[in-house]
Amino acid sequence: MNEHTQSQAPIAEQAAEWLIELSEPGDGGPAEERRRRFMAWLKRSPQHIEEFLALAMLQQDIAEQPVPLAKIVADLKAAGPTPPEPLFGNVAAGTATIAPAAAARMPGRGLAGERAAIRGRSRRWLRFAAAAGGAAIALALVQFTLVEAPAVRHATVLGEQRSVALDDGSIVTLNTLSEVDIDMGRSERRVALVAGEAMFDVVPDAARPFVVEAGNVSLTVLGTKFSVYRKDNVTRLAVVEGSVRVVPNGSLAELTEPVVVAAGEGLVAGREGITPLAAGTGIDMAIAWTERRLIFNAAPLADVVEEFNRYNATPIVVEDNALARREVTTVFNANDVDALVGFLELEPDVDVRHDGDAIRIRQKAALPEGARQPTARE
Amino acid sequence: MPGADVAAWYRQYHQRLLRYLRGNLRTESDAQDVSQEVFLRLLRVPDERVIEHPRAYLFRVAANVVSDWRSGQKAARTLPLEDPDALPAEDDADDDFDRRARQARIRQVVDALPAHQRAALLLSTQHGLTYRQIAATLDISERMVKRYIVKAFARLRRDLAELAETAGELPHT
Repeated sequence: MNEHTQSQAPIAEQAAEWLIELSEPGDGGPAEERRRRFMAWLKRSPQHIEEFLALAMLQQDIAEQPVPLAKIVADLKAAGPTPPEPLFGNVAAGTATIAPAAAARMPGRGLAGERAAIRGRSRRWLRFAAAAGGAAIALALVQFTLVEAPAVRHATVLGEQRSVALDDGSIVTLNTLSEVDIDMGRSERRVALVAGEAMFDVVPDAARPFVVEAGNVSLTVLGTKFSVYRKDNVTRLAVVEGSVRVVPNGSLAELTEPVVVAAGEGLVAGREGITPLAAGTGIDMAIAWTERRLIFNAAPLADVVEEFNRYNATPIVVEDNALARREVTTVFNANDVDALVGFLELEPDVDVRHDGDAIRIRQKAALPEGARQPTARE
Repeated sequence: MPGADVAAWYRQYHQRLLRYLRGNLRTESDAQDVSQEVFLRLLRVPDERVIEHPRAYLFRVAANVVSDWRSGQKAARTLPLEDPDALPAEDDADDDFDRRARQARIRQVVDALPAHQRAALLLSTQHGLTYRQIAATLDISERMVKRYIVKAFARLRRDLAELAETAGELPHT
């Protein structure tokens, strides 16, 4: 930014240009020089100061209301191409780099994530909780009990995991692309799992039952730790501590009686009824996400890929059925899409192709180009 | 100022500063007074003092001004409900109410942005992508990405001001 453009643009634009310039190291000349110019601009008028502070606040407010990547992309596509250049043309290299970068920054871990962590109010609470323990929960108690709104919604974006401290000291940890409505009533604590997956660490309170609404089942607990995953019409429950009473909802109620699930047990509630989750590995796999691990035990590649796609901005698409059925036994870090891609690239008969918005894999076929089966899978 | 101090300062003061900027000062002229005072204090500070973190420094000065301003106001007007320290719980509730109202307004104006401006802004602000990554994603130049973000911010400020004007500032109990 130079003096000329500064004097032309409205103050809000000048302030925004400074916001951008200050956020980017190494751009716009030596740091000292840049600071001097910034101070000179600030000192030119009180309006400059006011505008800059207001914009910095606005930026933080926007950061606190995350919009899922998928929605941003969908809106962009709906809006049509950016004039004068096409939006999703030949961008293979660019899109391939965004997934790990975005995923790595979002969890807000470590020093690199410090700024991102400061942005999010809930994450800030989590940070406080780690540092100050009970004091933070007391603070949360004050804030939450004062909120009159019936339910508070918390959502995570792609690749993000986040913990929310409730007013009773219970903790809800959301996995990627998940959403809960939390309603802490006087006589009942109620959380609706709107989408995705969450781990509940519930503080016992006999006077205030804790109920989780998860699609086709309602879970009632007194004090326990368990993970719930909602996908399409299926709900998966894995209990780590204590026990959970599962009450089927809707049409499932006609098929199944309520059941009690004890620690180390789990279940899958589907359209046809409730089936137990395999003890041991089944439970481990169901809660591995809390450590950002993905565990697969002789799982079809299609399932492995689907799990990865829950965390990463660039989806992997398996383009033929034989490959989709191939069984894989392995453990991955959920953030590390490159590990899976690398794993696949080592397979001699697998062809990995990066294109604009996806990584496409298929078996190396001897068939001519036109004769290949059009079997793209989600 | 070392990084840890900035973070500590930020946690301590930013709520108060937020309140100032969210129109909790009694009048528009109060807000102008505060920014005027920040300006005057800044003028007295040699540039070398504003070293490591100019933005954090600016925030600290502003917070101090707001703090001074509040204690001055307390003495002059004796309005007990205006004293946040005397009634911390009440103040938190107000703050939370204001925050929600403001967040709703922000959602509204962000939604109204042109899609490309919004995408550039959100990918940068929320998803931590660099301008270079955004440029690659949108297949436009880095310069264009910055231009979109600048335009988006300016438009948001304008729309928010209009929204506040239409709705009238909510009275602060």
